[in-house]
Amino acid sequence: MKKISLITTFLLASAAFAATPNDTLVIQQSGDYPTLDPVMTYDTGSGQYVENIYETLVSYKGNSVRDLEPTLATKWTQSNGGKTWTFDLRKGVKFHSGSTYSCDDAEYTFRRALVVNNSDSWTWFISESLLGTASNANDDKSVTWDKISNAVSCNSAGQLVFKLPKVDPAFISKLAFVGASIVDKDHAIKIGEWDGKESSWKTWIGKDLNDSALSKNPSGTGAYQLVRRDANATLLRAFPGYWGGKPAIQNVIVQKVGEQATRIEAFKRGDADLVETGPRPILEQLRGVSGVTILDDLPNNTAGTFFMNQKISDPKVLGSGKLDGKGIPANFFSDVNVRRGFSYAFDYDRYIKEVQQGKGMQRTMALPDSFPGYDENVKKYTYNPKQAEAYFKRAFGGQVWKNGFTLTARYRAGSTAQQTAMEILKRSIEALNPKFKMNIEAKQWSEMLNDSKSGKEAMIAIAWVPDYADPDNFVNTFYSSNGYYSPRLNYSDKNVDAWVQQARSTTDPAKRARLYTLIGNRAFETAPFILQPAGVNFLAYRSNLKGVSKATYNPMLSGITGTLWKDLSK
Amino acid sequence: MLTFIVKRLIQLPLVMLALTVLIVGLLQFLTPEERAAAYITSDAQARNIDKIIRDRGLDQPFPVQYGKWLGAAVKGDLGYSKASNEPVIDTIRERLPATAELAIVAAIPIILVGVWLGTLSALRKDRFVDQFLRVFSVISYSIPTFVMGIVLLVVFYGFLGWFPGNGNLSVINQFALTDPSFHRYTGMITVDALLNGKFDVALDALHHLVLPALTLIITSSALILKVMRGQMLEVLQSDYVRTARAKGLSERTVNLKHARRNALLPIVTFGGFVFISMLGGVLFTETIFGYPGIGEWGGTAALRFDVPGVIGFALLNAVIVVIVNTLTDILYGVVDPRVRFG
Amino acid sequence: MSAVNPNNAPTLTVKRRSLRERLRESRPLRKLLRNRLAVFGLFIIAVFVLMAAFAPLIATPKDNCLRDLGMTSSGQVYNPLQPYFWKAIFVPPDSCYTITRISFSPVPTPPSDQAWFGTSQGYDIFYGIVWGARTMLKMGLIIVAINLLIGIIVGVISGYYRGWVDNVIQRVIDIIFAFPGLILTVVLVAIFRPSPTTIILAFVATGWAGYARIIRGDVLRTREMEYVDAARSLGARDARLMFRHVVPNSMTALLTQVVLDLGTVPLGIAALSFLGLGFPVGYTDWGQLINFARAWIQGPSGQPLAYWYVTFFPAICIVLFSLGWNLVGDAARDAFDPRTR
Repeated sequence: MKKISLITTFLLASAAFAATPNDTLVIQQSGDYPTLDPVMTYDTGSGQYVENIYETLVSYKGNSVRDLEPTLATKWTQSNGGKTWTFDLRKGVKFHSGSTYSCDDAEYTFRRALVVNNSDSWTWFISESLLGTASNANDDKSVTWDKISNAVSCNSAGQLVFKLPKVDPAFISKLAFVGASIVDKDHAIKIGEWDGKESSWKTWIGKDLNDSALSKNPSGTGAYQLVRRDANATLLRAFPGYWGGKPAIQNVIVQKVGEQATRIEAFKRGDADLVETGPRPILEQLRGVSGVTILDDLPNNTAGTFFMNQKISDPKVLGSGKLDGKGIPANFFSDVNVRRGFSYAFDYDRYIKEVQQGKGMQRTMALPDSFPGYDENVKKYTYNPKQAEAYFKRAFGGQVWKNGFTLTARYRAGSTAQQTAMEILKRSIEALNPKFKMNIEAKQWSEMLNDSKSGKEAMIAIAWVPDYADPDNFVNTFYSSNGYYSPRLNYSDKNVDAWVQQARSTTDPAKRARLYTLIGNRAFETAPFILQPAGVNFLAYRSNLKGVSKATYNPMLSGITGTLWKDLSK
Repeated sequence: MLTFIVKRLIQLPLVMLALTVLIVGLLQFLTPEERAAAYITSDAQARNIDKIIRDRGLDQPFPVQYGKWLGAAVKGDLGYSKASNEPVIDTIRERLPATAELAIVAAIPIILVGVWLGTLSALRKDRFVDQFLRVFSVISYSIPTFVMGIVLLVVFYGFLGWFPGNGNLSVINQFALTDPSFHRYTGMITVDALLNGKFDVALDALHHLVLPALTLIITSSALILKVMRGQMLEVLQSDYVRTARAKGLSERTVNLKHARRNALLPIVTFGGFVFISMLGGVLFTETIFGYPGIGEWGGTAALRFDVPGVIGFALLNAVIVVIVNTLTDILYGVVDPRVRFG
Repeated sequence: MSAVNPNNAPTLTVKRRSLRERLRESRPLRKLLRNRLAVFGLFIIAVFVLMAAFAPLIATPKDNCLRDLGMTSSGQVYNPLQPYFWKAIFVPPDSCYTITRISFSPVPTPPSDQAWFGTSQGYDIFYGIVWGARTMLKMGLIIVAINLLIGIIVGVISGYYRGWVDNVIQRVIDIIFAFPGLILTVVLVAIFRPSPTTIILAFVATGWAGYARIIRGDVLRTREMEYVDAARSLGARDARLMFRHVVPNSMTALLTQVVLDLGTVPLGIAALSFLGLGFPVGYTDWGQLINFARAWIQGPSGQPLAYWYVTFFPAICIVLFSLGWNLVGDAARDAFDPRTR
């Protein structure tokens, strides 16, 4: 009898504890996050919190990645040919600590970003705009206090003034990045952060501030303030003094649950309103579950490709190093016919159907279709074995077709999506000619980053996630011979390089769009890489959660719903 | 006996020192890039990998890196764990009580069930009960812990909704815990809640422990059962029991009073072993149930090459293992009069 | 042996004959066979061994495996008159240890003509199970054999020489034991990158110490026994003494442990897969297959058991493999243990 009563107590207890109040939002994430200090926030894990605790000068409007709206700034003007930006700041805004927001705070925020500019952090790109270098003062001696204090300052009217060394069309979208959130100067100094003065700036250069006092004790102007962060969960409460009004969601708890199956069970039972669901196949288990709504066909702002390195510097990847069927020469991919052959040999439709569960689209360029500058009329490759065969027959004067090759392609260990994509390519390449062989190998991410950086890999799957919503962030990276990916790809086209530079130095959107179309068309002809079909994002939420929709989902935000928590309700 | 304890405890720092050399040494097999991976959480950061390596001295020779670590460790700074995003010391302070709570809640049933079934199995040797128990126990511990955990979760949390499936407290109580009037005495929520007089919180915490503990019980009881059965069989053959039987004592008295008591001796040692082996098992259980303990942290640290994290975790284990072993040896001496400490 | 002193010879020969006699009469073997559970265990193991040996005939080569064997159709493998048959069974190319892909879709598909046990992550579960038996047996035997070898050598040295040698070795073992369960294995595999070799290396690095402890204990005990003293006084050299007289006496206890450990190898590999440190994706390995099941234990809404095959087949193999070796190991322990005779 005793046992039975004990069990009943337990069962009753479970019923009593199950209910979560309507003003509380429960989120489950798979991993921990590094920091709550904006100056270090470079990942979506941290970004999810920072975007709700803090605010930026400008932010993306609704679901657009092109239009910005004022947030902690009210309006801005450009002068001096686009090299000086003057921001009017919002009045009557309070920080969580109680202090009032003023230009001092904004100035401190950006100077701190330029001073610290730690190597793990996002701050390199704001430094590039404001100081003309991505490095901090330790690495680049041209960075001085004068330069920093000149680049960002407050004028006598209490406006924030940025002075750029040269025109940068991407500057304003860089200000919308979550890391560029305004911090509370007085509070920061009080808890032991940099005092904002010239006398001490040198001791803060390059510091790792992931675990800074400000990260433990944040004070922003955002709608939510941190209550507690422990190994298990992060708890936040609505900030009563928020200038934008009282949000419907008063409490937010983000729990850390590493196992996907566990999160899904909690989600299905309604114990969590939002969970990190894992990749698309999970929808098989979520469809038709009562109380769960799935929002599909959301924009995806990453671009994935297979690189075909035109100058492979590691002989180990080459096999025999000759076109004898047992390897490839180092310049295998320098023949445009080989690259076109590969581009026609990838079964795009099968990839979309089987790997992306039918939810994918082929893009024309290595640029998300939601970004300005994307042109859907640029031609794209299709799966066409006949064409592939024709180009392979032409390659290296017929040697490729006659002798065959053995190519080693590598993917990031653990990335099933990359692995499967390569297997699809392998299958159709090997079906073309029995002498064509592809080996697919896993490689650790860090190792691969390094080896591919020095051009050691022949073929790798590689993607780019944008830092800020400007096409240059993609186009320069992928297509330019000065771009970040160039050493891995060794693609160089004089016309493309010139167009990329022109697009970088003008703020005229129409002119930039024309240049990007030119680049896209040229890239179709020269086939520098294979464009993987872009996936389509989706999210699942408890049906009683309001404020989640395609019209509010912004892929540049870090949170699951692509909105801020304050815009949700139950 | 005192000298024995002192001797054992003197060994501890030596073992710990060797352990740190071993781990730091092993990590030298990694390239600086790979070691830098611990500091990288997004694709974007990877772009600055060279600077990350240089800033943190990841390309320095082994003695320099080790010296740096040791210098700080002596001052009580075990470094910063990227796996938990806080200093190693804080991580241990925060997570060890949670794991201890889970281990204690699980260990008692494991030993009781193991001893009971082990005795039963030995007394009915080669009969159906024995064979059934043996097969059953092998099966229960041959199912990978994570599969067992997910199955229990799906059934008891997903379908039946009897027990909560993740974390250590309900949402409401997690907020309640942030109340400044709630004192954290031990770090173990159940105990703290009782000390604060919050019985509902304690019950809630206990409730959250059921499924993770059950997973450990199912997968770990088999070991005790096996040892108990073996010991029991051995004792039953001994002269001592035969004499007791010859004296005409009832079968039940002989079995329970004489045989079992003797068979229990090695279980004392084994109890310590169970505790230690559970430290490995909690890695899976804690991950599945989103339980904030050290196992989950240790696993993440090892995977991310989080050097301070791995060293901290290994040291913690070394301390626990040595202490538990010393304790069991002492306990063994207390229970078994034949053992003398030299 | 030539310098045997007649006075002491009897002790030695008696001991050795008793060993031989035991084998000749095969009492343990008879006992083993009388034990129904042990027979069941032997049967399970026999099935797995046969499955492993004839894997190419049960799950026929396809895709790259077919190509690398130089065959044109899967049916060719059944003809023992052709070289394919022998090559596939004894020296299959690496590509045969890659599970056949049925599709590229990660969503499981139920058992069908094409994939008898269904698919998991697009891979044919049946092929993975059958060829996986090879992988598991191979890994198990290699790991255990190396462990045993190192364990015996180190244990004997430690127990026989005692003094500082023993002390150093015991402290090393202490360090290994200071890691709970899998942690050291995880650290090692993480550092040296997952591959069959590193997985073996990691299990060996942690596995030998247990055997060494057992052997050392036995050596400490036996080296005090009369016959060892006798042999020593006869001038037998240390190495000879140890491996001729001490080790064989410890072997029975050790072998039963070895058999038990063999059974848990797939469990350890599954644990590594869980952590993302197992065999490369697509390798014929049960641990990976069971790890695939993690996200699919629960079916779609309203059909909770829809994906049963994804979990069931790998799990049952891992459990039966462990059960088989355990039953045999237990029985062997009982059979060889003089106390339970």
